Amino acid sequence: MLRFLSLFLLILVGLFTAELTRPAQEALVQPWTATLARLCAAVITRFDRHVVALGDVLESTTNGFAVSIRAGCNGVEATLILVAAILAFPAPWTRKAAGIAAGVAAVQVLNLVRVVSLFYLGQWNRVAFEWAHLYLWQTLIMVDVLVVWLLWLRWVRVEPAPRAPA
Amino acid sequence: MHPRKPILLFAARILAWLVPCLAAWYWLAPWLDRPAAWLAQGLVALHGELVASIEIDGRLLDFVTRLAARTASGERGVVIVEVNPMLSTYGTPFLAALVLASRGGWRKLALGLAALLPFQAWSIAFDFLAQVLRAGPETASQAGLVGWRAELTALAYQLGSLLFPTLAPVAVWVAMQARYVRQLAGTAAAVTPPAG
Repeated sequence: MLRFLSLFLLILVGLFTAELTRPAQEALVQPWTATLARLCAAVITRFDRHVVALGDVLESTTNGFAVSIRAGCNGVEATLILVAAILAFPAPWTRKAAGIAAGVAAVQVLNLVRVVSLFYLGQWNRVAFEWAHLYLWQTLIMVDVLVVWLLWLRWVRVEPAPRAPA
Repeated sequence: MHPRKPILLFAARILAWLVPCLAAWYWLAPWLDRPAAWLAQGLVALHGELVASIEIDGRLLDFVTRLAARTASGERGVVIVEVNPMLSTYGTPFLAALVLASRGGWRKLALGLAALLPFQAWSIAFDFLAQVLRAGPETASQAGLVGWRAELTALAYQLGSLLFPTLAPVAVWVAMQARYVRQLAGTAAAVTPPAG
């Protein structure tokens, strides 16, 4: 447990510090955030044509309400926590890679739901928006990370990796 | 039972507990947040005598500083920084939901909440210092937040605002309920959470 926690913290602080640097922000975080805004717009336009994505901003063309997707809301930190937790746990690299791929997808899909829900919640009620934005969704995303990690742990420990014949 | 079922049931219990825990925390926050605020004042004091007092303004904290400021009309005064401690302490209901969902008991809940305090104090303290930093070069230099100190403060603020509020409750819970986590992850079919 101590080894896992130490390794987890080391990897997480390393990834988090790297993510904050200007090159990582320009090459990865900002393009990803803009892609997330476009993905949200693509999902929303299936039932509501009055929305556009401009950079990291999602805007309603009917009433001008807009949300800007910032650090903490683009799912990057939650993703880093999950990646660090998977990397820190002793498991075959193929299992780690599969866990990271599926886990990142699970976190980002829920994050997309978060942004879309906040976009409509903000147009309905600002107090509910603030509450969901600042407290509720942050927690729900972390619950998602924890559940994905537990499911991955179970998959790794219960089902042994296939071995090549001797 | 399907091997994933205990984990999914656990997730459902977390969500069920989260509702009353969030409501209770929101209602009690002006009182629950005070220990973290006091600890934050102590943490800031390690950096120097920046803060004269902390005043509680409803759900908000006003850090009354010893830093001088001049208004646009030339009047002089002291800098007062407003901090919303709830942005740092919403891990309290999350930890409570985790402990109650894993039937950790009231003793573990109390221990866990105490273990969260340093992380919450860190978040509040560096939220305050980051605002001092953003107030402008004159205010930041009075506070000694220049060069590498400013960079370190910015990094500590990012850790305190983006990671600690949600990560600390999970880390504390995993450390306290390691046996339960192992049961969920390994022999989940035979999970029998310890009675509270």
